[in-house]
Amino acid sequence: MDTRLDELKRKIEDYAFGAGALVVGVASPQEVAKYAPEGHRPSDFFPKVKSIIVVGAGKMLAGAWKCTDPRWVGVIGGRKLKEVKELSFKVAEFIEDKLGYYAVPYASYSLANGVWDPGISIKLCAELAGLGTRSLAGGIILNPKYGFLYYYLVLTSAPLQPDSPLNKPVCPHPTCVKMWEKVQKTPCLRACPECLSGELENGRIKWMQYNRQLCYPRANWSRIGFQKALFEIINENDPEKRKMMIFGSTFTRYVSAIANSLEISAQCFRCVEVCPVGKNHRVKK
Amino acid sequence: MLKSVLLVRIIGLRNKVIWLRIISTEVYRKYKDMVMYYSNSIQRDVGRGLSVTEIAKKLDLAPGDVLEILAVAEKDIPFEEWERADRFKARK
Repeated sequence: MDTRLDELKRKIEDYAFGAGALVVGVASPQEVAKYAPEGHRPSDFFPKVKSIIVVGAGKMLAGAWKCTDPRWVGVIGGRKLKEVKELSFKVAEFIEDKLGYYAVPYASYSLANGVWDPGISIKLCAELAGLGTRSLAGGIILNPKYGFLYYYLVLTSAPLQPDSPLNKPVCPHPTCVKMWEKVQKTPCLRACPECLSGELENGRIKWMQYNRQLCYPRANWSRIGFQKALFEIINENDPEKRKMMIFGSTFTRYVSAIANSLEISAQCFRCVEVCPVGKNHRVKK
Repeated sequence: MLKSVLLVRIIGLRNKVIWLRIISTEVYRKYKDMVMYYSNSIQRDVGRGLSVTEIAKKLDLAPGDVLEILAVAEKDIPFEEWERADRFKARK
């Protein structure tokens, strides 16, 4: 073990935790490249990369789950996501300013090239950095302590000791296994049977499928929804009806959603809400 | 091979010419389901979805064609689904 690399890693971790990270891990770009296709490898984006730092934070406020408007979780989620983004920028700046290595933050959930074809898979990096494993709930990475978190990457030229993936899958939780044995459902599969399907066997995921296309209208309808609504409006021949459509409440929400990520129309969280992993963080006095 | 990605000329503000990349409807109809099948739109536990470049190789299309097909197909869900989703999310 190279103690110099460990020291470098410790400095970055200490800074990241101090800046608000709940979990921090390091993935090796070479390991990521073994699974990722050409054009989606870390070095395709940042040729100087020697390490990938994965920062996770954005634990949902417990109160958000208790609001009468269930979409309020999405409002808080938008803010939380922004916090993690800022955190990744701070970590990158720390690495450049204090340690003297190149660093760049990276998030792959933008509509790069106009389609949902992420440049680098954050899920893959988080898994390889030992921060969690994929779940039945749309393959969301579940951290064993916190459950659902938001993740951002920091790609750096700093050589850091990579972490190892978790030995034991976080999903299914023991209570989900018990539920499966009784009713052949898990909380997430029951919450959203359209987007999610799968089966457990011997306490493990036997197979799972996530219909992301159907998840769009539920979790991601802000941008695509705007395009869909615009298409309907353009096809409407009656100018009066067109006016009602454009000025009406639904289209106003679409417009607001693309202008402001905190709009209530995006996000769903139904599968996350019922997940028992990290549930203790959702319970307060 | 079918002529796939076309450039459509539209006149924008101050008579400025704007070119929009569109996929031909014939190519779109022919490949839509296959492109969606191979992409990450339906994620299965067995292996990962293919990248745009990989799908293009598999279907003998240009990557730009696959990109355009995917961009349209991802949104090609009945509008009612959005209304249904809104009701689903509003339920407590």
